[in-house]
Amino acid sequence: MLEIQDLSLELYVDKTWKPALRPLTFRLEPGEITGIIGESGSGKSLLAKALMNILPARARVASGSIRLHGTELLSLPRHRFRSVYGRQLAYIFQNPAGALNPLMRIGDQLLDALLAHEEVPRKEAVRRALKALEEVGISDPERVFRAYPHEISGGMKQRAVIACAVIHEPDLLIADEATTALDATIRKQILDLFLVLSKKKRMSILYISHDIAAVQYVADKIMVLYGGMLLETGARGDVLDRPLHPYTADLLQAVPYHVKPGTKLAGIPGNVPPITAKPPGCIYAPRCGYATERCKEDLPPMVVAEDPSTAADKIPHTHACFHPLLRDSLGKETHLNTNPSSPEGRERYVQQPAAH
Amino acid sequence: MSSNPPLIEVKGLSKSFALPRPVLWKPAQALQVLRDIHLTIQEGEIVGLVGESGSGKSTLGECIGGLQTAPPGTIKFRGTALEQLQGAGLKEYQRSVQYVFQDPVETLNPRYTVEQIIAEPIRAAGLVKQPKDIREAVEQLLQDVGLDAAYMKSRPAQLSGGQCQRVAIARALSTKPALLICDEAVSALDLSVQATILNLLGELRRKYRISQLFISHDLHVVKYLADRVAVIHQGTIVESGHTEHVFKHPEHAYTQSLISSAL
Amino acid sequence: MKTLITGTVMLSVIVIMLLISWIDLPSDPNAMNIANRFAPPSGEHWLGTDQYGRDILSRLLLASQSALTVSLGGVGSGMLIGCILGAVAGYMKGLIGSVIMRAMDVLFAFPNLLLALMLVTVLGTGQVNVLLAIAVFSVPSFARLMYGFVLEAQSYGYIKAARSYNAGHAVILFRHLIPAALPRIGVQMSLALGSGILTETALSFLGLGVQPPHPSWGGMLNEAQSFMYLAPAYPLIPGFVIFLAVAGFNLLGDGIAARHKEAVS
Repeated sequence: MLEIQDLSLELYVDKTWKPALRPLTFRLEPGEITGIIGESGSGKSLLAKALMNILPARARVASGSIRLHGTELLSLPRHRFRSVYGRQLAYIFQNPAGALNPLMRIGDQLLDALLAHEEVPRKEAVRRALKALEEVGISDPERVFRAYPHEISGGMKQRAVIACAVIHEPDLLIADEATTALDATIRKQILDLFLVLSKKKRMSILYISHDIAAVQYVADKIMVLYGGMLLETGARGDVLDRPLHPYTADLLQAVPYHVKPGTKLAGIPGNVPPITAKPPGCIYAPRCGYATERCKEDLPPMVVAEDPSTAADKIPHTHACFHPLLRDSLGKETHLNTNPSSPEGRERYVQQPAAH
Repeated sequence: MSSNPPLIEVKGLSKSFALPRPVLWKPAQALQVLRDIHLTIQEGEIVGLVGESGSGKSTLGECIGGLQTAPPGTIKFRGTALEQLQGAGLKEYQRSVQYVFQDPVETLNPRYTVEQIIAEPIRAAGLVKQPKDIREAVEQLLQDVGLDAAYMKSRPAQLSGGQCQRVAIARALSTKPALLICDEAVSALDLSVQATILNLLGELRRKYRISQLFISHDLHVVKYLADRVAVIHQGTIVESGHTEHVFKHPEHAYTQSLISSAL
Repeated sequence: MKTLITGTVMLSVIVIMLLISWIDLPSDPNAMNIANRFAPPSGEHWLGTDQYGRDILSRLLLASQSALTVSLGGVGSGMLIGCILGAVAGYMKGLIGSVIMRAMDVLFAFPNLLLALMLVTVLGTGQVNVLLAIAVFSVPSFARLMYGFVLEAQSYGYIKAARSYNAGHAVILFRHLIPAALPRIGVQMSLALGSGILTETALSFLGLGVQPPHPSWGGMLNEAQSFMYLAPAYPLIPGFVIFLAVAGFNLLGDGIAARHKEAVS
């Protein structure tokens, strides 16, 4: 449905355009939730904004193509923007309270969203707005329709924001950290709503978050982004249970969720690189325990894993690493081309300042 | 077991904030944020305080830390009510209870160097007086939190979020506290960095027996770090007990819903 | 950036005038020569002469001294008093804070010039009293600024942190709050200087400031208006200088504010 081919982005830093997002290729299919895991500076939000054509002034698309049902969006004439952005592609912001106008009733905001794209009689518009509220799981749509944002709870607000986004039944819904600011109980409800929308309405959802637990809960397919580079993609089970890229594995070890209390968390030494840091080799090499000289010099290409466990899946498990992790039949991690300076050799905890 | 009074004992603490009058002639209303809170923190213990936004968890932390006033007699530090502390006792309390806040970058004044930032509470507490000794103390603190001494002259803007949080922890440790109040101390950090800070907090307890009140909305983090946990909901502690027990056998309906909604 | 440069250029003209007046004036500003009244610009009198045949350029240069010292002194002392009052009010809150800020509101209620006029009428004419008047009407704007800043800063992470480790009021005030407020004070200072100069010239225009025969920009403007038909260029000269000074300070203030905003975001 949505095909992204070699899309790369640049950022304007220190008066020059610097590469930020390395070329990446992926497709989004209807009825599928794709999760993007990334820390700050991974480029996940830039990617989402590029898809929605709302890049900030200091960012631009350097090359590549974004095709929706075969139509190239990057060369779309301006007068057709409205038929695509906000209608076929919809976007939900992080902060639900901020996305609603506090002085307008929820219903009027929904009608605004609807009438911006379609010419329908008011009666029909109201009917559709109420239906949209019902579809996002609001049990008394009439009351919420007439309510002002401050009169409804945080979870309701986020539902109303989603209703605004899905009222046109978009093909793709981009949720950029859409549950990060929500409380745990509400977060689960919203994630369940995403599952319903994708399965029932055959909507494609791009769920972007640094919250691994949430991504694991909703996503069918996972992409791991780090420092502006795609490091690993694949089916949820493949990426999270059998990670191939050391970064993915390290990240999972660093989250209390995956680790038993009492055991020491394996924090990753060093810091997240700025997105404009573009070493010649692998972006993760400076923090990676398996890195070799080759990793620091050559950029590992994205390859499909020869891991036998992925053979049955339709979704290929790909990674960008010269030394992917492998597991034996017992599920224990072993390693191809094991590096003599094994993880034990990692220097941890004491951080050196970078040369200023 | 021991007859020593607990480090912090909260008994029947209620707190409300005055709301502005809607109309001049109507009586001023109050928003009750804390209702009849009972909580103890023993020496060397990590207590997790879990709650959603607006539950009053930060206010409770601020009351214990002395940033907000609590009704007389409701909070005791080593057996003495806070408002009765005077002179050396007050100094001892102020020195012993320190804070680590959520946003590591914001809590450091961008104008000053790491050394100046960490030295300030040392001077305020009057523990060390000679400039040379203060400098040594700062170096030692940086080492304790895993930062190289070369960072002394850096300013917060030159550091990453995780490094800033280490500086903030070093600053909190500078007065040799008995209790760290960590208010969402890892929530704003990147995942890969969060783990190293959690490890650091765990290590501080092992090494120096520093108690912690670990306030968070993140169940997994609290489950990982805390010995005991208290669940706070709408200003009331609905359940508390040993972490493992509370997570395995939650009794209160709210705790159950909180745990079942964890992913 | 453009406003900042424009403001700086305009002000540097005024500052150069001040420097020249300190070093040496082209001729005696008070030397009359009735025979040579309203002389057009010449090699001897670059900007011509006034109704008594005095050198306009010299008078203009000398007048810059009183304009700048009175406004700078007035705004400066107003800033000091205002900032202290505002900081105290914001820090103490409660009754003291309310009393201070309500008093500031009362001062705010009067238009600047009216307040200055009233004060000078009560205190009498003269440079010192004009300075005092400017100080009095500058106080509330600085107090308001500082009060708002101190209230806002209570929620700053590092102020909260400093309170949490009991850094003490003096440390919080002098090491954290005041340095953080400096950029805003600078902006307000620049804007207040503009209105300070305007007030000084207005009062001397009305004959309440610097007393003749000592020159002042306002006084020159006042004298010139009587002879507007005889020497139409004369009132334009002090008028232009006043414009340079007032607009210069305002543009500088705007420029600093814009740059500070940029630096913050």
